[in-house]
Order: sequence, then C-alpha cells, then structure tokens
Amino acid sequence: MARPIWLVAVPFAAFLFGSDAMAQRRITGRVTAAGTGEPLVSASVTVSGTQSGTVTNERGAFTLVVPDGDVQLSVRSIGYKRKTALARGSDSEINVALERDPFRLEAQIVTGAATTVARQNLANDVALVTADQVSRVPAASIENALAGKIAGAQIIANSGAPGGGNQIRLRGVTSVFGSADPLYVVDGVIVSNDVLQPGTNALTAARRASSNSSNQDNGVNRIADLNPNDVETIEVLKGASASAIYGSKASNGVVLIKTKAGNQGRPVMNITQRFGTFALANKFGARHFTLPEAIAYGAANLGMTAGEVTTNYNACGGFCDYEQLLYGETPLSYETSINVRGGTGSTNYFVSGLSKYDGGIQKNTGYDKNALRLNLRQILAENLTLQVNSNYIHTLTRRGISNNDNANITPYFVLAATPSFIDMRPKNGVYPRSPVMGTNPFQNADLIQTPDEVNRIISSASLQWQVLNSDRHQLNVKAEVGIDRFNEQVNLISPRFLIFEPNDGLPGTVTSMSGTVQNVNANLAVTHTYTPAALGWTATTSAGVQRETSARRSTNVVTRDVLLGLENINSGAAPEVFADRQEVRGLAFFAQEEVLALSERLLVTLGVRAERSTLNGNIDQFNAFPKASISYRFLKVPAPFEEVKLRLAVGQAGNQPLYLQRYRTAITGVYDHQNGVQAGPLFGNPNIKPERQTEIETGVDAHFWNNRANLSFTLYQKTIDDVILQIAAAPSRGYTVDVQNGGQFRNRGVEVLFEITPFRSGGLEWNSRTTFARNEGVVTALPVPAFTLSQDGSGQGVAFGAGYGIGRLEVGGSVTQIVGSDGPNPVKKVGDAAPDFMMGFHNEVTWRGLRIAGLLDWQKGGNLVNVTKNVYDAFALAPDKADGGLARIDRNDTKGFASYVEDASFVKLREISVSYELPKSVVSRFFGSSRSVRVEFSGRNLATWTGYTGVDPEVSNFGNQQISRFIDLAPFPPSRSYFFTIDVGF
Amino acid sequence: MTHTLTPTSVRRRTTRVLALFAAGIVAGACSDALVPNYNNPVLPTVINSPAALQTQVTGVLAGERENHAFQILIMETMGRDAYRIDAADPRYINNPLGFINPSAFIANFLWNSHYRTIRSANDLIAGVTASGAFTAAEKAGARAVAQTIKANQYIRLIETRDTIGVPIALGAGAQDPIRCKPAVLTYISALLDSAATDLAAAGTAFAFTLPGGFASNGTFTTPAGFLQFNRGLKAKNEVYRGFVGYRASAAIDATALAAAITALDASFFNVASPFRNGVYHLFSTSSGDLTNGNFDQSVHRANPRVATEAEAGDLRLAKIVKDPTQYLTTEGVASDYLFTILTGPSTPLPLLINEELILIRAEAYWGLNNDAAALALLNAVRTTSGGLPARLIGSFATRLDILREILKQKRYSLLFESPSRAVDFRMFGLWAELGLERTPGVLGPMVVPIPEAETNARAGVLTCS
Repeated sequence: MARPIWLVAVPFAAFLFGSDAMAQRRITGRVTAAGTGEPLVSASVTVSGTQSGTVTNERGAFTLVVPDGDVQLSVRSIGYKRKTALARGSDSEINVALERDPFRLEAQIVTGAATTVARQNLANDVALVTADQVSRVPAASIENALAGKIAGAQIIANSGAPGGGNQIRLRGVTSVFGSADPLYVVDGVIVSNDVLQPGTNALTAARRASSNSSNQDNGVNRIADLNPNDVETIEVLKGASASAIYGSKASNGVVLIKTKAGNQGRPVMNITQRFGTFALANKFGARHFTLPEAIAYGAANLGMTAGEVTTNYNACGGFCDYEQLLYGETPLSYETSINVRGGTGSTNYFVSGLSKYDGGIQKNTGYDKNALRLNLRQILAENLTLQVNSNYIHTLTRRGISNNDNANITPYFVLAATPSFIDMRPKNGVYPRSPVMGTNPFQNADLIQTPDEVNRIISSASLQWQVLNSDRHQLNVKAEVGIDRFNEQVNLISPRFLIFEPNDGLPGTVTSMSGTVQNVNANLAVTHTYTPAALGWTATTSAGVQRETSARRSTNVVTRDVLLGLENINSGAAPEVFADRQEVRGLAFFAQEEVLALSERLLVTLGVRAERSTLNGNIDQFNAFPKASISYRFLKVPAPFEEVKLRLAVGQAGNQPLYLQRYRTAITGVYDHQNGVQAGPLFGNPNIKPERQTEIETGVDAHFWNNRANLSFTLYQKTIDDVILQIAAAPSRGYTVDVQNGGQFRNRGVEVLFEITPFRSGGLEWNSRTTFARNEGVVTALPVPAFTLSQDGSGQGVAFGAGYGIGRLEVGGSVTQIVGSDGPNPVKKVGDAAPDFMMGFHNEVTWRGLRIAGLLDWQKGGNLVNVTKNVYDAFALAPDKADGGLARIDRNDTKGFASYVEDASFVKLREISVSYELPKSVVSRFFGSSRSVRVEFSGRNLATWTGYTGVDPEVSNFGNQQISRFIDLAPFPPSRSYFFTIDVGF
Repeated sequence: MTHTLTPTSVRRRTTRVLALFAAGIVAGACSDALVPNYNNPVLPTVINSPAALQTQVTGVLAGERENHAFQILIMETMGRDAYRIDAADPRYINNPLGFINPSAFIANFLWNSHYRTIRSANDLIAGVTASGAFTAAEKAGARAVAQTIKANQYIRLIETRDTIGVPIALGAGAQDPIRCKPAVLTYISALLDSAATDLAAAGTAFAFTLPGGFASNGTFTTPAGFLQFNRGLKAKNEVYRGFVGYRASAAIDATALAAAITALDASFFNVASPFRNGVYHLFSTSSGDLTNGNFDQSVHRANPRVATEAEAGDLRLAKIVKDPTQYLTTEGVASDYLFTILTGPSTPLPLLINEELILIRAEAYWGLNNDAAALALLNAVRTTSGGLPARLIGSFATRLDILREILKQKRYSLLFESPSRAVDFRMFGLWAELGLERTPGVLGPMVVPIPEAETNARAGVLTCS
C-alpha cells in the first residue's frame, strides 16, 4: 500500500535513487546537412521505438547509450527530413546526413493530449511557427511577433502603449459573449491569458457608474509575459476540427507553445544583446489657425481676448505640435538575452535569462521584463524520464493614461479640445491650464504614475514511463502537472496638486490593485502503439484524464483626498474597495485512435473529449466533443508535383460560459452606512451550457518544383450552435441582460499558404512565403429578434450608442456588422469590423552570412469607428476640414448619421531585418573562443499605408472583444521600433 | 550511466505513483461542489430576518437614489437651468438640447434603473409577505415603504416620458403593455393610497431604519412621518393628473386638484415650517456609497439665463456665482456661472421639500381658479426665500402670468435640485417660452425617448394604451 510519505512528498523524488543499468553500449556520431556537410545543432537522435535519445551538440556530435544488438536510430532536426539509420551491434560510430525540409513537413505536430504526428500526414492545416520566426525582430509580446505570419489569424494590437495587449482571432468570430481568446498551452500547462484591468478608471472615469476598473483601462492580456526567445515552436490549431481534444476551451483555437530543451554535450551559450529605440509612428494632426482665425476662435469658444490669443499664438509660433511634444520621446531600449543548453549523462538542461526594457514614446511610460527559465530533463531509468520546466517572469509596465475618459486627462481628449495656438507647455515647473479642459497634458504625463507589476511562475513536471516496448507494442504513460500563477499589482498615483484633481472635491488619488490568477492542470495519458509485423500500418491509441482548476482574485482599493507625497492607500480620506473572485473546476476524459497506414500515406484519426465544468448550469453533466479526420498523401503524382495530400477533418469544440452567466445576481450598495441589496442588471441562466462549434475543414497540400514550392489550400466551415447570448431584455422587466443559449453562427473561409524558393544557387537563396485568408461570418439563427450590442461588450445596447456605430445580430447579417443610421433609416448597416481578407508576405534572401528578410501584413477592409475624430470635431479642431469638423459632428450627433465609420484597411511593414553572420575566420580572430557572431539591424512597424485617418487602424478602446472591436477613442499612438543586435554563440 | 533504477523497481514504484496520481485526479473530481457566486449576493424569495429586511429596504432606497442627480441634471438642462459642459462627452449638451439618442446613456439611465428598483421593491414586497418572521404591522410598514418608492419611480418615469407613456411592470412574466400617461398617473395614485392604508396599519415604528435623509430636516422615519412624505408625493401626482389634459385642450381635472389639496393637508406642507424641511437623499464618499454626481465644478455650469432672467435682488441668486476664469463652451452653449449650492461630493439633494409642496399647492389653487390662495403661497416664497416684495393680484396682466410667476419661483427655489421646470413648462404648454438654446437655436426635445432596447424587445411597437 502507499506509504504516507507519498502523499506529502513530491512523488517523483522516489525515483531519484536507484541502482545499476542493464547491458548496453555507447554509440557516438555526427549529424550533418546533406550537401553542405554543415553540422546540425540540436538534432534529435533517438533509438527507434524507445524513449531513450539525445540531441547533437554544437559540432553536430552526439553520444548515445543503446541496448546491445542492432538498433534503428531515428534522427531528426527542424528544417530537415527525418532519417532512420541502422546501427549494427558492432558499430560504435555512425554518421547521418539529413536532407533539407524547407517547409517543415516533418515537424511533429501535436494531435492529442499525448500524441504527435508528422506535419506531412496532418489532416488539419495547423500553423507552425519556429523560434527563428518569432525572435528575429524584437516584439513587445509574443503575439506581436506572430502578426502577419499565420494564415487565418487576425492579430491586432489594442494600442501602441508599451507592454503588449493584442487580440488573436482565429478564423473569424466564434462567440459573442464567451471568451474571445484562444487557449494557450505552454509545455502542457494551460496558461492564463487573463486581463486584470489596471484600474485607471479611477482617474479617467471612463465607465462613469463605478470607480473600479473598466475594460477601457488598456489592460494587457497576460500571454505577453512569455519570453519569445524561449520558444522552440508555436503550433496554432485554428478551429474545432483540430482542437476538439482540448474540449470546451478550444473553440477559439489553441496555441501550443513548446519551449527549448537542452542537449547533450558541453554547454553551448548564446548571448544576444540588442539596443534600439521607439519613435512615434503616426499623428492625428490638429487644425492650423491663422492669427485672425485664432482670435475669432478664442473669442467665440474660449472667452479669450484678442491680446490673450495673440500672446499664446506667438509663443507657439502659430502651431504647437502637442502630439510631438507629448509622444516624441525616443528612449534607449535594450534587450539582453542569455541562454545555455547542455547535458551530461542522463541530464539535459536549457537555461535562459532575459532582461529587457522597451521605452515608451511618452514620458513616464515603458516596459521592463526580466525572465528566467530552467528546463531540465532527467532520465531516471532507461524507460523513465522526468521533465521539469520552470519559468519565472517579472514585468513592470507603465502605460500612462489613454482611451476613453470623462475626467479630461487622456492626452488626446485634451488635444482634441485645445487649439494648437494655445500654449500649454510648462515653464519653470508651472503647467498652464488648458482653457477648455481644465487640465494640462504635460503635467498629467509627467506626474501621474501608472506602474503595473507582474510576478509570474509557470512550471510543469512530467513523468514519462515506457511500460512496454516490443517490436509490435509500445505502451507509454505520461503524467503531467502544470501550474501557472501570477500576481499583478498596480499602484496609480495622481498627486493632489494636479489641475484636474480637485474637480471631484477630493484632490489626490491613489489606488492599489492586486490580483492573482492561478491555473493548475494535471493530466494522465496512456498511449499504446501497435505496429503489426509487415503490414505497414501503425495504430496509436491514447486515452486519459485531465483535471483543471483555475482561480482568479483581485482587489482594488481607490482612495481619494490623499495628502501630498503620500502614496499608500491608507493615506486617503475617502477609500473605496472593490473585489472580484472567480473559481472554476473541471474534469475531462479523452480518448483517441490514430491509424497511420499504407507506408505513412494514410492517416485516420478518431477522438473524443468529454468534459464537465462548474461554469455550466449543470455541473455534473459531461459534454462530449468528438472529432474525426482523414488524410492521404499521393506520392506518385505527375510532374512538376512531388507529392499531393488531400485532407478532411471534422470536429467539435466548445466555449465555456463566463463565470457570472449561470447566476441571477443581485448587487450591493451602501446607503448611509447601511449595506443594501437590490436587483441586478444581469439575469443569469441556471441552465447555461457551453457553446458548441462544429468545424469541417478540407484542403490539399502540394509540393512541387523539386520540393522548392509548397501550396496549402484550405476550406473550412465553422458552425457555432448554442451561442451564449446576453440578450438586451426589455429593461422594463427590471433587468437589462438576459443570458440564454441559442442561435447559430456560421463562419466560412479559405486559407492559402504558398511557400516557394524562387532562387537557390551559388550560396544565394531566396525564400518567399505568402499567406491569404478570407473569412465570412453570418448569423444563421437567433432565438430572439435582431438586437444591437453595446460597444463595451456588456450585451446591452448602451455604452456609446448607435451614433458611434454599434454591433447588431440579425439573421442573415454579418456577425461583425456595424450598424448606425443614415438619418432617415434608424438602423442601417454602415460597416463591418471584420476584414474582407488578410494577406502576409514574407521574403527572405540569404547569401553566405547575409540575410535580409521582410514581412508585409495586409488587411483589406474592416471598419473602425473613429470616435477620436468626433471629439476633435466637437471643438472644431479636426485637421482635415476647414470648419474643423463642425458639419460632420452635426450630421452625426444631431442629425443621426453615423459619420465616423471608416475603412481600416492597412498594409504594414511589420518586420524588416538585415543580419550578417560573421565568417568563421573573423570570429575566431576577433572573438576568441566564440562559435558564431551575428550582427543584425531590425525594425518593426516601420511603415504603414492606410486611408484610415486615426493614428492607427488596429486600436481598440475596449481591448479584446469578440465583436465590438472597432472603437478608436483617444488611444496611445503607435510607434515604430529599430533595434541593433549582436548575437554571440560560445 | 550513473544512478538509474532497475526495471523491476521502476515498474513497481512507477505503477504505484501513477495509480496514486490517477486516483488523485479522479478523487478530487468525483463531484465538483457548486462554485458559489463569490461576487454578488442573491435576493431571497423569503425575507426571514429583520437584518435581511433592512438590507433590502436599503437596497430599494439606494435604487431610488441611483439616478436622482442624473435626472435633475438632464431635466434641468432641458429646462434651461444647467449645463454639463464636458469636453469628453458633448452628448450632455447635444442630446437634451438637440436629439436624445434612444440607444445612448441618457435614455437608458433614466429608464433601466427605475425598473430595476421597481423589481427590487416587488421582490421586497413578495419576500416580506411570504415571511413568517414579521408581525402584520411590520409587514405593512415594509410594504408601504416599498410601494411608495415604487410610486416615485413611476413619477420619475412619467416626468421624463410624459405622453409617450410607460409600461407598468407587474412582474408576471409576460411583456407588460405600455400604458398612456393618465393610466400611469392613476396607477401611481393607487399605489400611494395602498401604501397609505398600509402605513395606517404599520404601528408606531418600522422594523427597519430609513437613511438619515428621512430625519435630517423633519421626521419621516416612523409610519406616521413617512405618511406625510407619501402624501406629498400623492399631491405632486394629483397635480400632474389635474393638468394631464391641459397642454392639449387647456382641460383641468378639478377633482384631482382637490385631491392634491387634501393630500397636501396630510403631508408635511406647512407655510410656517422651514421651507427646506423634507426628505433628502444623502451622498457620501464612503466605500460602496454614492457621491453627488452633480457636484463636479469642472463641468457643471448654470445656464446664464438663470442670472439674466432673475428678478433684481433675488436672494436665491446666491445659488450661482459668475467666474470668468471658469468659462466653458461646447456644442453652441457657453457659461461661466458656477453653482454654489453643491459644496462637495457629499452634498445632499432634496427628494421632496416643503417649498416644493407650497408651490405645488399654488399650482393646484391656480388650476382651481383660486388665484388669491395661489398668490398668498407664491408671495410666501417670494418674501421668505427670495427676499423680494410680495406681489399684488393686480400686478398680473393675465391669469397665465400668475402661473408663470409660480413657475419662476419654482425655478429659483428648486434650482438644480428638481426636474420640475422642464416638467411644468411642458405640462402647461409653455415649452416655447423656455427660449431657444445653442446656435443656431433649438427648442430641444420635451421628452426623453424610450430606450432602444425596450423598443427592440417590443418589435418597435410603442403605442400606449
């Protein structure tokens, strides 16, 4: 029976003690690239049919202990084709040359909780992104680094503020009120992408009803914490047909991130040092005035005399460029990244460290990140491997104030209301008050502190046991525990002497937000592989169980009337306390059968996951999500083709209800020191169940022109049933939001990936990669009449109102349509938030050590509502009209026309990099023991071509939103970044 | 190789550990307990303790207070008394003095919270009626307070929607029809009367405490005291009933106006008492409490007409002050007059005060052709509050001028503290006399539309019955 100590100690520790090994021998060898003979670093060498294996060192060499007798070695390296080599019982050395695999067809793609299959057999179009693709050009966060690289993924930034904040939308909108994010899994750990809003609402009062945080706070979705330099591969499962095995969190897609592993041999160290800067990429502009115009404007609108106006006008030279003055910083930014990988005997390790600072283009803003990772792999016994990955991350983000604001402190609100001839520049520490806004943007930027600090640990341990290993049967058991926990703390400080602070009667504001998010998952999976002798097929059966819990807590204390110089929340006279707590528990069982037959030409997969969750109305009911797929590779095809694969996959995945959707909530409120309870606006549904997405995906993959070209063509249809709707109820019922399952959406789309090597000769190689995606989402059924959606995602048709464009669900209409009015017609489609299509163009030219690469990201169509311009117009200060926009705002606000819906098409030069790998001779002469030296210049978002008149066609005032991601309101403007990198390998 | 395990030992130990691991996963998950709603309470179907009753009474009153300041702001903007000149949100001007967007916040705030409070009151009534924890008198007292507050929600709704009508929410599940203004006013009277009946049977004390604003300027915290507040509301409603047909046909319902006088006699109306006596809503900066949203001096300004249209020497002009350094303008309006009546975020706002009842009574007398009685009350306000000389009946050219004078006194006595100016000018068909606002000049909407969500849920059919 189990000894009690097993209950308290880490069970795996029991394996750290043991005795001698069985009869075995040692093989050494080298792995090189066929043709060039270049040693392949980090190639994996395993004894076929076993867990034992190693990876090559920096010289391509490996040492492996194998059983006595003949063994088959399986050798693979990313970017090269897998090869099996026979090592006879008498061999002690074996050298293997691998052919190039430019389209990564042999990469192993995760198809289940415990199984993988080579990409060449895959029945789904799973996007694969490798280390090189995400870490070449520095990015604020890992999603920035993916933008433009994945067909079918719309990856857009919510603002230009330092520290990230992006939305990834895979194959269209799949939910209205459920989660908007894909599921992120890092090395088996379900990783939180939660946003804990920093609570700048306490200063901006963007959401008037409360001083607590709001989704207009420009919070960062926390996947931004990951260090892109640690990534080995990223796989993106874009819909239910691929992601069914992840169940009811997977309908928005799944992003699987695998981090780097150690390898055998002496330690290999890489140091990457980058220096660079950020610069304001685009301005909104402001109306220019002649002196007589300024005098007239001052008299009519500011109550200023001609003399006062003239003084200001002359001081500004007629035009003070406030955007340049506020956002004109070009801070020195840096990134130092060190990693060491190595291994001896039965231990492999990968250690990495990162220290990074992205300066902000506004004073007092920036993003610090420090991270440490240790990935450790210990072979406990020949058939037992322990893998422990741990990652600690610290970030400090200072994003300043942006987005919607009712306190007149967001810079663009002040600039929209203050004419360019008014001199607001500080002089001798005195900040002049804007005559319109009763504030000074420089004072706010200089003196409001917005530190947001995250401490995070992502850790996992897995134990893989090969129970059985014969020629025909292999039985593996894998147990895995993962934990992701972060704490976020924000302390906003707005000193009492700021011009705007006394407005509420309580000068000085200090907040303290503290939140913790924790995800824990434990998986146990059993995989059995059966390879009948001589029949040429393999059946892989896997089954398992997964337990998940997640908890999220946050408290926010806002205190006002704070004495000067005090920064603690106990120093204010008028405190307010807010708290949020959520908890979810779930259990899932899964089973999958994969048959690879006809000499690896046919792959048939069947799988199912059954899952229950405390988020559902019925917490005991298991919801099943099945999938099935088939693919066939035609190897004998007419020229110029080498191989054509047809594939078909069908699957279901779910999207869980949100925490509050099952409860009929009341709300509390204090009145005269008594706590009261009253009816709440949300009428939850005790029978709520997950949304269910059924996806059918089919496609063809073809390789041609001597494997120099690869074309993937995919068609899909996603149908989402039981859509969770927060229907705007008739408010006269006493609540405003009614939660129901019902209705249906349909997304249909096409994705194309075309990779080609147009030129390869004499050391010069040109690789080109083009992605295309088009998606069309339609509402096909609704249980209620058509209804509008508020822009803030709450479900009621409130927030900014129809004058600023609003989402509307109606049968037959686009899911993402924006309706407004054209005056006589109160409800008319005026735009659509979703793009018509997206394309990415990546080109890379290498010649000897020189590499030049560029990525263009094109989004055609899609609308944004430029509410920022509405604010400029309100003060007749828009730069694009002679009347400053007065006629436009009149049409919008009083005549009922939706005047601010704009085409947000853009082409962005996302990435460009020029790098040079120093020749070996130079390296050895100048860098001593260094193995390699690379210098690189890179830039991100260097150019944008768009007809959109706001600062950036990507922004979202309400952050990540399923549908209402189309409000541009006083955003933090975008920046370009330039970096110089030197990368030294030892 | 060093330190590896023998196959047998591996198998034995691994099997045990994995079995334990599997057992852990499944055992911990055999049955997940329901995760409660950690963030919000649930309203009980039965209220079974005095503490629970107190909580719900406070909730109903907090609901009543929720948009009090906001209603005053919007209606006083429409009534040419106040502006919120907010650079961040021009809708505070271009909606109430232009076009009130049925999908935007003004229409929603002045509808949703009222019906939510009505639902809270209905839940309270149902919960206390079903309870075995209270005496009949205690139940009657709780019911009376809930019904009275509910009635005031309908008064607020009809003040903003007027002849559009509003639904009477019966909470029976089906969509309640929109009822026209006379039917709603009749319903309000019935609610207030049923509350009065309950109050008579409620003994000498409530089983709960009312907020301090019911005791700060008078005593309205006992059933007898609360009845005076109830009768004040009844009088206001009866005056609305008395003039419900006036704008269309100058019709006056004398019965209703007589009922108003009767109700006033049972209320705290008293020319000899302090005019500021009455019921107030309190605000505070305590955590979870509400502040007075109309305080913020960075955006709130008085309409300059308040100064220019005042009678010279009116003491009530001290409620505003001109400060040219605080000049604000947007959307074709401008002002540098600050309100001085709101001194901080905790300044209380009257819900119903003696001075309003005095002027309501004057309106009733005017409608009953008792000009002398109306003038007496009018002069009481002129002299006491305004420091102005009393006027003689002969100084009025027409009977309508007497009404105009009543409305003028109401304006200065209740400035930025009551929605009455817009309500009265609309009710008496005098809207055009408010004057054009903004450039080039508009009269602005007389009513707040029904919110779009309500319209949509009714498939666009808003006809009242």
